[in-house]
Amino acid sequence: MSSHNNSPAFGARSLTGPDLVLSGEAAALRARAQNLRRLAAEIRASPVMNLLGLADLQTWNSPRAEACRHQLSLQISAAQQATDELDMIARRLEEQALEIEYAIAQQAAALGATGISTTSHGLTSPNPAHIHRR
Amino acid sequence: MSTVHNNSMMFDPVRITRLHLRTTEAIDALQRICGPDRRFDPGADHAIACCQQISVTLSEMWLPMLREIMALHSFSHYEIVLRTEVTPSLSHYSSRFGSRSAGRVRAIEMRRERARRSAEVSCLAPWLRRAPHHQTSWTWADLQTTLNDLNTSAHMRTDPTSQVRQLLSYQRSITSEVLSHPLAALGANGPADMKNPEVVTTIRSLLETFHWIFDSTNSSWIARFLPPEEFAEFHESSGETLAIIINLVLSDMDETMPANDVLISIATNPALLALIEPHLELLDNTAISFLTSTILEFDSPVSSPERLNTEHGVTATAAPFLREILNREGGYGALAASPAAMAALVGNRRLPERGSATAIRDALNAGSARLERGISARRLEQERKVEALEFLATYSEMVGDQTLTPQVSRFLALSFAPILNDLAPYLDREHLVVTVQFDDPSELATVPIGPRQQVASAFGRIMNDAESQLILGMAAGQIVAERPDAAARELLASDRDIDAVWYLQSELALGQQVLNFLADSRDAHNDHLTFEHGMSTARAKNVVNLLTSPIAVGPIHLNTLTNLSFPALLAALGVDTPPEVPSFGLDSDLAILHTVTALRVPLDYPALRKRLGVDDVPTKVWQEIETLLARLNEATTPEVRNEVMSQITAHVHKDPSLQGYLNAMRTGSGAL
Repeated sequence: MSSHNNSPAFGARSLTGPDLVLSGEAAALRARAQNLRRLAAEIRASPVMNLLGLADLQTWNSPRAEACRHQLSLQISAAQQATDELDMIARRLEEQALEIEYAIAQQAAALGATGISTTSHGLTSPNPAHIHRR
Repeated sequence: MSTVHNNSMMFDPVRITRLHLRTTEAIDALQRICGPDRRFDPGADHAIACCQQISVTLSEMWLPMLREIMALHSFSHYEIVLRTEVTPSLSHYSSRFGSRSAGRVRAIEMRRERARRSAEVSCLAPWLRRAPHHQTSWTWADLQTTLNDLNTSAHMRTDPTSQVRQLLSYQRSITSEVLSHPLAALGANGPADMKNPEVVTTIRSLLETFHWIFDSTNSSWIARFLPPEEFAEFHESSGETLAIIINLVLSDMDETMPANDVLISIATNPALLALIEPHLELLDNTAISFLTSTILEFDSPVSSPERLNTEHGVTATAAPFLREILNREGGYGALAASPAAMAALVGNRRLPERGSATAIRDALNAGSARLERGISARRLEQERKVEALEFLATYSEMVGDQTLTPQVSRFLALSFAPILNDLAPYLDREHLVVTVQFDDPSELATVPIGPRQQVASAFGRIMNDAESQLILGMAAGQIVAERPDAAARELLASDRDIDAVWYLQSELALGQQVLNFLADSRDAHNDHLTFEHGMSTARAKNVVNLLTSPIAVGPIHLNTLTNLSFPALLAALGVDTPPEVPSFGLDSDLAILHTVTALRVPLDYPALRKRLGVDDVPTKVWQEIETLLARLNEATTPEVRNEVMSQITAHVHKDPSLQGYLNAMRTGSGAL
């Protein structure tokens, strides 16, 4: 993620108004993705994920205990799926950010071809293939 | 095993404590995760909702359950028993009460406490063995008076803490001042003068006192209010004192029956056994020590049928039976743990002459004949079990998802009531197929019953009817209503039949399982009853009350119930809201009578007559009728019964209003 984030790579040229808006959107998407990933990681590392192991038959065995375990087991499975979803959403957000950044880069390249000044080290355009590979 | 068994529940207190801690931590962590700063992102909504659900489950389901377990007597008793758990061979009781690893951790502390607190008591037994017999001004009567005072003090009845403390104080004093002298008078190595009624009565008073303290029906209730240290001391010194008594009784050379009776009363009392076992030093060459070696022989890698027979007097036929008793926990646990109980049960009540292997073998062989009878009785029991299972399989499948009419519910409840204890071991299993094994390993009966959910569902639907709840609740309650020790003692005192004792023990254990199952069915189906069968929450609450009421678990004389109307009964059970049953008329009364009949409880005819509202019949006629009914109940031959019946019929012809009453009698008592 960090290899694609932020916009300094694009900062070498003068961005137009719409570019700035798009760049802000991409940053916001990346921030959201980062938050979602952090949340998923926190849930995965939560102590609740180890509870079932601590509440095994040797600890506690009765019909009600079984009901408790069953209920928690279902909910933990749901939570695990939810964390996977969080990752997936985060990926989509990052992909959207990449697309936006790619579009800006394309636009900048087009502007450069028409005589608008660019920096000496050129543009670091994202690899479109990379966008779809993930 | 490092677990505590509590009814159907089994738990490890150490692990439960850790689980409780981790659950609390997990809830805190989840609440942090679900904090308001995370909610801004709609993509996290589902995950946050999942975490919140888990948090609710843990807070509202797990934590209350864990706290409930931690509040159990057995949970608190666990630590206390560990402090007194000194004998590794006490596997039976240690497995019931606590973690052995935790016990080791506490061993050093426990030994120090023991040494500090019980020095006097610990020295008593050897002192008694060494010391010459004392003539003392203390008499058994004095001791008995003291015990009676302790047991009957009104103040102590209302203040258990004070009572226990007084007993504790008393126990401290008896080590040197009170008990030692009368015990010394008994003799260090016996014989205990068990022919002296004063001695026997006093010993019994002592045992009753100890039993009261460790009342098996109120297990470890002292732990609720007595500090652990005092409890440990009490337990320790009580056990020492009892051990002295036991040793003296065992060493009674006269082998008098009172001594054996005392032995039996101890052997059949799990609470006393728990006290005695760690402290009991078995004398050599007694039947008891011999039986102990028999028990060990079963576990020995070199054990063989020949060896058991020739050296221990256990016949090949009796061996599996005996082994089963010895290996069994729960219902037979007290017997299995008690050599004294085994001695009593194998017909060895007259302790053989010390050192006489022949006498011991003869006694055991005599016991084996009884065991063989027990085996044939067991076969009948197994056959009955198979029938009961088939009945369960048929009806639980038939009930399926159907809504039962009250009549069908009551029919099924009445049908299940007499076989509940047969079904008990199988009700709580997930198995689809139950295999009942007969004593001959080649003989099996396989009965496919539904999954537990289906069986529970059937019971849940049956219990949708209030009277059916009552019938099943009473049937299950009756099974556990009688206190094991009292009933066992009574049986031993009456016909002393091993079969009867066996059945009693198994009934009590299984009855408890039935109650657990019914309670579980109730839990599982409360919502179902509420939402799918229109049972109101209040009604569901009534079911809960009924199944968890004293009627189901406490000693109660069911014949007193025949004096109660159904609403009165519910009121007696503490059910505030009258259940939504259509009527409390004769049908309900008859349902109770059916149950009472099934339980073979004697009916109170005058009370029944009064309740049925047929008091307007002339007294003289009633007297005649009731005399006839009494005669009918006592009639032993068909001729007498027919004669009495014809006389009753003649009365009915004269007064048709009697018909209702007699119908009730017929349905209720089965006498007509």
